[in-house]
Amino acid sequence: MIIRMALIGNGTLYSPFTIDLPSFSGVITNETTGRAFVDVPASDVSPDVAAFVAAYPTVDLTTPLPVPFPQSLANAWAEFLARRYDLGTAKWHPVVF
Amino acid sequence: MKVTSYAVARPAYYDRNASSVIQTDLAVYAPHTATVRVTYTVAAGKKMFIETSSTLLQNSTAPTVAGLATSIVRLQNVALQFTDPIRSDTLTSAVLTTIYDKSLTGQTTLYAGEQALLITANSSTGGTVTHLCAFKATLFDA
Repeated sequence: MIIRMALIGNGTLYSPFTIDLPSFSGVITNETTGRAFVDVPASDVSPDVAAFVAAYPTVDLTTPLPVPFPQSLANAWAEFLARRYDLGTAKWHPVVF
Repeated sequence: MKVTSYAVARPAYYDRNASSVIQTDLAVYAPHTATVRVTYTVAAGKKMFIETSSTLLQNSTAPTVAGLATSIVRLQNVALQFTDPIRSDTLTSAVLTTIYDKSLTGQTTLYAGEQALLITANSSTGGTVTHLCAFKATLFDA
């Protein structure tokens, strides 16, 4: 599913702009606003995050969300990904932005 | 007397719940800093063979000032150490006359937690470049 996410990294070849997710594709960025549209596998999106994305649709890479992505939801998504990939501690901390 | 063999042959990797993973990023981009377009992470209990990968660059519209444009397939371990086994680069402003393409075939292994990334960058001023990065892999039970 397409989600508008926060960019991390600094845009160099050693630390390119990226999304804090284990798997994604189709990245379209706005380096100025630090946002990107990203195609995230549905299996990597927890139901509560999917509900948040559906409740606050985004149409561009500039307009801020009407409400910030809740920290509790961010923590829950990180734990969901840690369980799904089973690679130890929560490695990814994605933020809908 | 019952004879039991303990040397049971393990199925080949392609018979261990294998599936194909194909990731491609093909687009015309304006100048931009280095950006990861695709990431694929190998989950626990799995391994992945990268069997073929390719990159391509072609100027679509001429830049005012040509900078380095690049398409990269990057492999990265859990410590974020990486290697770029294949990349295409151009510094020219010539349009459409030359395609800078490369491809690689082999069987590079990625272990659990390791990643394959597709990255693009273009430091030109103005103009657009067609970037292609892609890989085909087989994911299977470790």
